[in-house]
Amino acid sequence: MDKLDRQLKEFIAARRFTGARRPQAPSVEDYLLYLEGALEGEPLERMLDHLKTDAEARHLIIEARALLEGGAEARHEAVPAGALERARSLGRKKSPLRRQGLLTAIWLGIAAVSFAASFFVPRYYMQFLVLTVLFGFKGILDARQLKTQILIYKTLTEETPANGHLQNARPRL
Amino acid sequence: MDESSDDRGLVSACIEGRAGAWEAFVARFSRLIFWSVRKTLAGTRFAGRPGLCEDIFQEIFARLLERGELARLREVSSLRKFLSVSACHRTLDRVKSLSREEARTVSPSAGGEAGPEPEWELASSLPDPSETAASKERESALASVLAALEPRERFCVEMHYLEGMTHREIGALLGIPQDTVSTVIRRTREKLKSRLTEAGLED
Repeated sequence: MDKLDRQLKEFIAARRFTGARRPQAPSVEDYLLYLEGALEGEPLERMLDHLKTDAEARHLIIEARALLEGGAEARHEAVPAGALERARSLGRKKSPLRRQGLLTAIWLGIAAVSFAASFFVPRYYMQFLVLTVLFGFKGILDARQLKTQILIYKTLTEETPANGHLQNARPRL
Repeated sequence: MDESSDDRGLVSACIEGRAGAWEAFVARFSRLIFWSVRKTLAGTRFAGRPGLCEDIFQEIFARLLERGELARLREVSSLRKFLSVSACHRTLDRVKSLSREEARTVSPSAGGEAGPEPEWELASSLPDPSETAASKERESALASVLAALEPRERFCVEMHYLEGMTHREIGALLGIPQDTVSTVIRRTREKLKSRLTEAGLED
């Protein structure tokens, strides 16, 4: 390395990004556009800046480029039958949260019907009002429980910074 | 109907929840996704771990359903490429998370001692506060030569000098031939040399 190279190296090293804030990680779409050569201008500069500072993103680019170039090989890939079946069955599963939501709606519906019945059947209006209160409470409690379940689910599925830098990418695929 | 519009039609059918659409989607893209995961894993030390490939494969499909990702697939320019890059991204994420997990369980005491991540280490050669006028002029020449470069060209020069990457590695990152990288770096050196010579800072 001669004097000029050394000067260049020192100059670039002195200007390198050393702040605590990392630039926002690109999304999968950004990576794809970059790999296709479709990124231009500011988005391209942002991507290159990210690549300069993130060795994992560089690794991703190298691996993904190799995948895109050899994509035809995938036609001959043998997927284990068990894995394939499990992936297929994902589409058949009903979301437990949806079922819970439906139950909550049913309780609230019964409460509304009881309330209406208290007007139309004056003889038993007190009994219907009690039913309204009971089913109403049941519905409200279920709805709160559902909210808590959703929060727990989101927390469990959300990627945390501790899991890896690549996972800090915008919450996409 | 061409392949990409056919793929998009299948994605739309999955979103609408048509019978058999998800099964057809899995059948069409499972080979590509499994292959992408397996190839990406092959370059890591977790390549031989039993069940890992199937696990990541499963996770990718689950995410497509759970996070409403299918709607996004209609927007991308090439569905197959997107799924490949996604699979690669997810696999590397998992590898990183496994590595961290392993590091924590193998040597818990080493975790506390770890220093800052290497790529974020502070630049060791910050400019001397008592720098001379000549060195300021040299810096301004360097800055103007680098600023005049295209982003890709600047990336070549910076990666070569900062990370010590070879021309071949930079070419692989940018998707350009190694010769082009060599030319860019050589030309930048020549420009810089002539600027410094003009300013009387170089022999």
